Amino acid sequence: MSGVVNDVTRTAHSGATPVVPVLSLRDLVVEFGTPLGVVRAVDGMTYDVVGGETLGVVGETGSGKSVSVLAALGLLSSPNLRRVTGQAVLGDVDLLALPQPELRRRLGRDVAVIFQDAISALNPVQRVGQQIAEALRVHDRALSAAAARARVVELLGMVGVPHPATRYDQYPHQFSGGMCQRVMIAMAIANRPKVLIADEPTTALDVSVQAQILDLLRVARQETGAGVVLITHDLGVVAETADRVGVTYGGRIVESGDVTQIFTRPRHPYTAALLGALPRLDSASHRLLPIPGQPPDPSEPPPGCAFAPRCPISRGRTVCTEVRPEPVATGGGASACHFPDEAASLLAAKPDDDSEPDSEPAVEPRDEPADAVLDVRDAVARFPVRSGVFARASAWVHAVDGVSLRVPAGRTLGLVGESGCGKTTLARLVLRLVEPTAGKILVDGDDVGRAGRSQLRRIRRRAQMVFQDPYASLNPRLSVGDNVAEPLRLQGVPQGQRRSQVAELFTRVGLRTEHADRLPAEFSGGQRQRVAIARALASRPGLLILDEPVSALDVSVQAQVLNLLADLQRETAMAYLFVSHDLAVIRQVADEVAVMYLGRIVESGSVRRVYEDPRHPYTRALLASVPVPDPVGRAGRQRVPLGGDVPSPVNPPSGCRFRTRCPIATDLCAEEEPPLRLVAGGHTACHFAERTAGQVLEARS
Amino acid sequence: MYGHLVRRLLQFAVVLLLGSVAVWGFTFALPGDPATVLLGPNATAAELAATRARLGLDESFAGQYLSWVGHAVTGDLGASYYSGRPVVSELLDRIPATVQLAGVAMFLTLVIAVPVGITVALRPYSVAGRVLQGYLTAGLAVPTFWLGLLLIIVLAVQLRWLPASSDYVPLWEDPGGALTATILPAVAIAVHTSSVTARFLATSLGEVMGKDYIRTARAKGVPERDVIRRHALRNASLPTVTIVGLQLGTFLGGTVVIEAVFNYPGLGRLLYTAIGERDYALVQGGVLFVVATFLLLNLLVDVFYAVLDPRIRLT
Amino acid sequence: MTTATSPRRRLAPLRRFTRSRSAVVGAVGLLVLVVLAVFAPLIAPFDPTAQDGEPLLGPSGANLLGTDQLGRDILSRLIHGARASLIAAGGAAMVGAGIGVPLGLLAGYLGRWVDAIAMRLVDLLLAVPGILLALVMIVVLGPGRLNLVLAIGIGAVPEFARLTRVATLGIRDRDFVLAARGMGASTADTMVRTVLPNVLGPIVIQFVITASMAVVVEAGLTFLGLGTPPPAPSWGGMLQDARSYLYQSPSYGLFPGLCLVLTVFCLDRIGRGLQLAVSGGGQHPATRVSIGGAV
Repeated sequence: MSGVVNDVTRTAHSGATPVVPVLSLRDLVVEFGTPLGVVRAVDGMTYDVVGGETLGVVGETGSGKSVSVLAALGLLSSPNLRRVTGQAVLGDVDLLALPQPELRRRLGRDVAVIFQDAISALNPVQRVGQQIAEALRVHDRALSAAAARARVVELLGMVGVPHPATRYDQYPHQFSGGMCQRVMIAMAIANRPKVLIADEPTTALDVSVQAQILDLLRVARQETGAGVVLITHDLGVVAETADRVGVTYGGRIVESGDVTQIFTRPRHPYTAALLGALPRLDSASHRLLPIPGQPPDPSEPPPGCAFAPRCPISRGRTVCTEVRPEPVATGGGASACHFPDEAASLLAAKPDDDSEPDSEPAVEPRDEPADAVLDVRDAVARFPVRSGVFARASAWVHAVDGVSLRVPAGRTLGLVGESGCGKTTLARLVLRLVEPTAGKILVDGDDVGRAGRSQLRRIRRRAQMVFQDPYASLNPRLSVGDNVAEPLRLQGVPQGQRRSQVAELFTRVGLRTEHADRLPAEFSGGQRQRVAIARALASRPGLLILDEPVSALDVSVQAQVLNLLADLQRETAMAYLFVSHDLAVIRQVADEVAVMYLGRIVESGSVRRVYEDPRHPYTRALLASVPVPDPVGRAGRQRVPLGGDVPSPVNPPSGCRFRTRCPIATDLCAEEEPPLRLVAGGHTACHFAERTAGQVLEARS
Repeated sequence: MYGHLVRRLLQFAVVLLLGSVAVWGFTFALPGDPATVLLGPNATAAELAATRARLGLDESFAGQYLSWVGHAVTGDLGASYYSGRPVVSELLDRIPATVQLAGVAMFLTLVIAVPVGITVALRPYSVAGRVLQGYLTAGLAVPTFWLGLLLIIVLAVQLRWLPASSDYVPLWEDPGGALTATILPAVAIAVHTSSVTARFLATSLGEVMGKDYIRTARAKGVPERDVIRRHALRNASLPTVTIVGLQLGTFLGGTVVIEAVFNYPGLGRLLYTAIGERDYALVQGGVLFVVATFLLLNLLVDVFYAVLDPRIRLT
Repeated sequence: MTTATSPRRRLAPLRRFTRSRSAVVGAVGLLVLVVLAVFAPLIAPFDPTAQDGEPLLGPSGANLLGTDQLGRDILSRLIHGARASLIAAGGAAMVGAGIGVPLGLLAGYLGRWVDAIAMRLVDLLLAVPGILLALVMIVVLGPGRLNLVLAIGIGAVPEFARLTRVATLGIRDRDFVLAARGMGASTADTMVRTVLPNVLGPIVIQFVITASMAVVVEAGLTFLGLGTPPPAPSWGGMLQDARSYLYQSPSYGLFPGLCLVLTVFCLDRIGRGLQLAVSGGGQHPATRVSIGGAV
């Protein structure tokens, strides 16, 4: 069984000459004991990685992709860890058979890990340089402190930390997220390991920083010649960086093979379904094909194929529900499916039959002012930075600094930008969850900023908000039914009426009404987001503010929620203000797009205008930074990632705020702030908007 | 860091000011005014009036407070109603005894709490871990003064090893005598406080061991002993420092009950006696001293904390 | 995932509490104590204030635990003495929570100057050691059961306030609180309906911890002669008496102390069980404790 994958992966990689893998997982099983019984988080994980290649391990939350490798390295310290069996062969030793001190001697030297969320992965009370030096000195007792320091400064320079000699003596809290990740990488490559494990290395980072880190990982691989295991949930990241791919589901690899093959000719229905559920940056929107249902519950694994209950080709066939499929070599890869050929035809038959009538309005919609459900005019929100003894406001954060936008009924405005650009503050301004400093915000013509208490309450009924994290946005002490009924209670709707309205709302968002008295903790992320949407719908609003509503969800579930939102909009003609950092999601849902940078809109217009003819250098750089889930022709793609981090909104740069990171900035940009002006059917705030069209931006260096 | 410390210093000043108002106002909350208390029920109206004038009670509230605070700042807390001696002298007589007991008790607390806390955090299910968890549970459940009584019954009454009541013997004059005099009350105190501190240390160490940066240290190949020493303990000690500071403040503020059990001549006993004798000038001065000491100690803890934690020091 | 598992998960906190054997022992122990206190006159063999035995007798068939210096039955006095301890425990915890929780909630949710004022008051209360504070309060308020409860309870206010404030700060900016405001809930409604239920877990635990602290402080104060007034039986008062007769009757001092230890032990176990229940299990065996207590 595992031997098949083994042979396949080896031959697939190198043809005739046998290549010895630097790391092999064999039938790894990891179990946890919980109050609800034994949970099998990893269920026979098997893969190889050879030196110099990048193996992408891709899968959704809970598929066992991270747990397996942490267990293999003895880094799971959970007290309820029950059992780790199988083999993890590094070179010629099985790590799982080693006593702890022996294992530690190899960790950091032969195999190094780059963790997710680098800020919390660094010791807050130890100097950054010393943390890297420790990695060196623990494996080389003879290394002097001075020599270690010199080597660390060199490493910091190599990973692109500016002023490495000074930064050596600083602490993690003085570094940005991206810089912390660079430090992690320096630490990992310090001893030139044979295997580099990158566990979701870019998940918490903005796209522009993500692009920098992915480039750096490539450099790190070349520098060390290590085999890289890149663990991620992001198909785009895998397509951009991996040589081979393993797709995980239900605690095991369900399909593996060459990256091009996985993305173009998947032979497992789960892989095909994932690709169908993914919003695309590069193609016009059609309706997404979500995977029905929820991922398997690891405490009650099905006897047959873990994917069978959600599989489009299983259709209840007994072999699928009763016999667990083992990986079978098929055409240069391996697929753990009973019917790989049927699976192969899935993606090819990707339909136009279900897609909506592709009636993108050819003309820009010209709405009368009265039609705008939401009309924001020159909105400003500043927060004081308090410092000093009396906590006086010594400076101001210019979170939103003169933003205007309009959303007509039945339409969606996508608001996109990196973290700290002010998009969430803007969303909160609309409901006055944040007090506006200046400007006007009109909901159905009523001024939110000037509304008195009762008027504000009326406005808040007409405009409702859906938050990013469905685990945080529902009151955990109320049942989901009571959560949905909360707005009705506040409006004084009598109890009996509330129940029937909640039942109706549940049906509309696709939840079962008999689940209404359960607590939020009993639901998965996607279902909770449905509850949050039902709650938002309770007061029959004309406007929904959607603040990153799908970014906490897995791809398959994300598609379900996006489709639900599209259906609801068609039924009720609600206006959506859809805030997201994900350019592909915005492309999928929006009619109009506004791109924010440091509190300002730098470009806006129809989806087609902004995505296909971007005129602002920032928009262009963002679009170029997004990893495209299509490995074909990735070598030829122009990638000019933005350098540096977003500057602090406390003291934004003079003139054009983007000029500090802009490849085409001139002296004019520092002196004069470009206004948002009509360019090519959209609006762009750049002095050189006419000249940027179609041209490839090159960094001056 | 300076902004943080200056803010703390200001908060300290505000609380001390509030404290002085409260301590000063305390005499007005009492049934009967100080003159009545001082002279007893049989005093004549003329005597009362004279005493009121002497104590400044006929001035306005603000005037009285200001003159009281003004004197307090110059180290004049008035005279004891009972002995007639200056309150400050009465306090100074007892402070060395209290500091000595507090020092020995704190030493014992730390010597017990640190190893116990670490063992319980890292090896909760080992034999030692289970036994020490038993110690923590018992140490928390046994009231200090009852433990003191037990120690007296067993070690002083039955075995006659140590004296039943402890007089103050200065450490530098007679170390052996000082130790025999303070060891019983110090142990009685330390059994309780070491259990509290050890539980705190164990809890925060347990939390720290689950942090991402501990996993990073392990992934670097750092041996487990050094992971704990270099990465876990430093982070886990931060919240524990606060607790130890609070405990030391309590020790210095007077361990009233334990001093009563052992007849130990510390501040706590002085204040307890003063309360019994309705010597409000002494109570006032003593409580003000205790509050000021406690707040000052907290300020020192803040400084120490800032030194330990770069996130506070460097912002 | 949400099929058929619902009742199991709904009862999870209760099950986690009962899973801890020592927590159940604590709860049963406390229950026994409450029954003894409530039905003391029916259970105790003698009138606790009747001086009709020989003084300072050792344990015997007539007086199971012996008699005190006035010839009163020690066992009967212990059983009646549970009342003083339990009243102090429950009362002080209620006073502490009743003042501290609203204070912490307001400070944490409203922030700014409300927070500054509330926290300075808390700092001040914290600066006076618990037993000294109680002593001074009793001097001001005068003796008596109600004042005793008040005096001990005031000392518990700071910890309730700080705990509630920190918990409130932790969820103040969470999305579900914002969502409540976004739905048009008033500040008061948000605090009471949305914030309070979500900070209740640590408060309940603190309640139990405070109760155990109050048992010890009540005994300590009575031991000093300023707590539960005689002739009402109280464990602290019995220890005070015993202290005078250490040489004549060493065993006298043993029993009231054991009662205190058992009571505090039961409350400590309950607190630990609650912590496991609230945290969702898997927590480290060492847990939170009160830093106060009578020394």
